[in-house]
Amino acid sequence: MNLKEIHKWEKALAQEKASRRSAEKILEKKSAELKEVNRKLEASHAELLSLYDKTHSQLQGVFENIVDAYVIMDLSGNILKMNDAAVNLLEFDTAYDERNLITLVDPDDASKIIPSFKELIKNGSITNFIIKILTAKGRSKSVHINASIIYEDKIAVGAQGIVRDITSDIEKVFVIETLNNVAKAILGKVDIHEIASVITSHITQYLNTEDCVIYVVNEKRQTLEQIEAYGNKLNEFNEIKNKIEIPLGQGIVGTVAKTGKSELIKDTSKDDRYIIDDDIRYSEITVPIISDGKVIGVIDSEHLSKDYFTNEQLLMLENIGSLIAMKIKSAINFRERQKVELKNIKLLEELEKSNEALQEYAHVVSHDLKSPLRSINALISWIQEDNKDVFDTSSLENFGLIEMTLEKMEQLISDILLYSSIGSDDTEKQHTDVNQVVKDLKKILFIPRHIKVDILNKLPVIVGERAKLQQLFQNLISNAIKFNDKNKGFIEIDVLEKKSFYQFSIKDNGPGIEKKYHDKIFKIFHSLNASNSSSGIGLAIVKKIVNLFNGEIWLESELNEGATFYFTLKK
Amino acid sequence: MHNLKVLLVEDDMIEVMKLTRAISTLQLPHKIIEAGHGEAALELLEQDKLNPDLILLDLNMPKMNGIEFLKNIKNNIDLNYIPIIIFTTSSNPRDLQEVYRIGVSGYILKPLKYEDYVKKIDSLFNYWGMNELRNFK
Repeated sequence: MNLKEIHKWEKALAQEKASRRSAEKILEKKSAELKEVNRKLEASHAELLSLYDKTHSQLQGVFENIVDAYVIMDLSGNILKMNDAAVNLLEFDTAYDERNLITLVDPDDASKIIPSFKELIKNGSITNFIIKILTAKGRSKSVHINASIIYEDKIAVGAQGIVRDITSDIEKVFVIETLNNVAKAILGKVDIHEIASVITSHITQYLNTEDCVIYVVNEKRQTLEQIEAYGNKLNEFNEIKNKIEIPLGQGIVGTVAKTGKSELIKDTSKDDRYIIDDDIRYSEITVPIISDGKVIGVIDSEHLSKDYFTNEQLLMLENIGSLIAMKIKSAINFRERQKVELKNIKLLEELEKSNEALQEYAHVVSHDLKSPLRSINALISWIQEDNKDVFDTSSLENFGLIEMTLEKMEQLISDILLYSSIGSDDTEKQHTDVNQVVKDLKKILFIPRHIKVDILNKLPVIVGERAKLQQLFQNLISNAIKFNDKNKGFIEIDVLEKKSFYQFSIKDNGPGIEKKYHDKIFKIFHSLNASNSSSGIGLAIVKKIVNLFNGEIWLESELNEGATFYFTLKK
Repeated sequence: MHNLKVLLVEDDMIEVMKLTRAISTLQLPHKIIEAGHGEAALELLEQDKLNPDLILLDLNMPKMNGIEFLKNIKNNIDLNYIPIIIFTTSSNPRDLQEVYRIGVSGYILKPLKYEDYVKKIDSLFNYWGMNELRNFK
C-alpha cells in the first residue's frame, strides 16, 4: 500500500470519527431532552394521581356523609352500593345486603315500578318519584326518589339515586285528612251507630288494621257497651256479633274507661288484663272519649302483630277522641231520649188497652150487680101484689124502704160506671155551646119553685165533648139544688174570661161546707150527707171531668154562708 | 092483634118468671118459649124448626153470649129474617153500636122497677102485635 492510499484511508477515518462524534453529541442532547420531558411527565402524572385521589376521597366522603339515603343499583334493581342512611332507611342489617330493590316495593304500589324504570332509562333520570315500600323488617314507609343513570363508555350500566323517607310528612297530611274526614262525616248525624260506624271505618283505614271497636259507658250498669265495630266482628247485616259487655275497670278497655288514660300495648299476651273478644291480637291501642271530664266512651283498636302501633298513632286517636266527644255525648242523649219515647209509646198503648179492658169490665160488673137488684125488685113487687090484703101499713112501709134502697144501690152502680167511663173515649174536637148546655139543663133538672137558677153572663163556646160538659154542670147545679136549705134559694152561674182559660163559678146560698172538707169532697165516696140520693161520686166525677180539660176546681165557702164552686176550662 | 110466638133467650130464671108473669098480668095472648142460653136457642131454631115470630135476646149469658148468638142467626139464611130485640141491663154504648151494626130490630133496657118493666113489656107487645109478621118459607 502506498502512502497516498494510506493518507486517503486516514482522512476518511477521521471524517467518519468526526461525524460519529457529532451524532453522539446530538444523541446525548436528545437524550437529555427526553429525560427532561420524562421527568416533567412523571411530575405531571404524580400531580394527576394526587388530584384523582383527592377527588375520589372527596366523592367517597360525600357518599358516606350524605344525610339522605344513597343507593347504586344495576339496571335490574340489584343493590351494588348504599350508604349508612340507606341501610337505616331500608332497615337492613349491613350495607352489604345485596337484595333487589324491587322486592321492597309495597304490593299496593307494584304498578308504579315498570313506568318508573322506563322513564329512568329513556330520560337518563327520574325526579320526585314517590312510592310506598316495605322495609326489610316489614315496616311500611313512603319514599321520595331522585335517580340518574350511570354510563360506562357511553353504555348505561346502572343507576344511582337519593332516597328520602317522607313517611311522616305523608302521615301528617293523612292525619289532618283523617281528622277532617271524621269531622265532616259525623257532621249532621244524630244516630250513635251511624256516627260510630263512620269513626271506626276511618280509624281502621288510618291505622291500617282490621279491628276497631267503639264502646259507650252505660252509667246505670257501670259497664262498657260495644256500639260499633269494624272488621270480623260484624255479621252479614253489619251488626256486632256476640256483643260483649265489659265492666268498668276490667280489661284494658275497662281500665281506660275508669282511669281516662290512654294505653298502648305492645304485646297483649304479656298483659293479663287483655280480654279476648273474637280473636287474639297482639297489639292494642285504647283511648278514652272524654266529655266534661267524664269518660263517656272508649276507642279501641287491635292488630295481629306485636309492637304495631306508634305513639303518633296514639296521639292521633286521642285527637279523634276529643274531636268526637261532643257528638258522641249528644248521640247518647239522643238515644236515651229515643228509648224513653219508645217506652212511653208502649206504655201509652198498654194503658189504652188496660183502660179499654177496665171499661169493659166496668160494664160487665155493672150489669152483674144490677141484675140481682132487678130480680129483688120484681120478687118484692110480686109478694106485695100477692099479699095486698094481708100486709099492714108498717110492712108496706118497709117494702117501700126496700125499694128505695134498691134504687140507691142502682144509682150508685150507675155513678161508678159513669165515673170509670170518663176519659176513656177519645174526646173529639167538638165545639160545645156551654150557654146552651146550661139552658137545657135548667129544663131537664127538677128545680123547686123556691130556688132560682140564673146565668149572670153569657157562657162561652168551648172545645170539648158536650156530654162531659153537661155532666159537669149537671152535677154541680143539682148538688146546689139538692142541698139548698133556704126559704129563698138562689144559684148563680157565671164566667170570667182569662188569657188561656175560662173561669166558671157556681154560687149558691145553701148550707155551705166546712173548710176542712174542701179537699175531701172531691174524692170518690166522700159524701157529706147520708142522703138517699147521694152516692158520694158526683163531685169526684166533676173533678175528673175538669182535670180532663186540664182545668182546676176549688171552692170558697163558710158553714151556713153558702158555697161558690170555681173551675177553669182551657179555651 | 096477632098471637105472637116469642123465643126468649135468657139465662136468669127470675127474668123468665118476670116476662111470663107480666104477660099473664097483661092478659096477652102471646106464647113464650124459653132458652137458657144461645146454644139451646140455636138448637130450638135449627133442629126443632121452632119458627118464632120474634126473638127477645139477653146479652150477658154463659156459653154462647148474646152477640155471638146474634151473629149466628144473621149469618144463617134460613133464620136471618126473624126480628131480634135485645133485652138487657147493659147500656154499654159499644154493645149498642155493635148489635145495631149486625142488625137488630130494637134495644130495650130492663128497668129496675117491676112496674116500669110491665109498662115496657106492654108497649113492646102492643107494637109487635100490630106488625105484619109472616114466615117467608
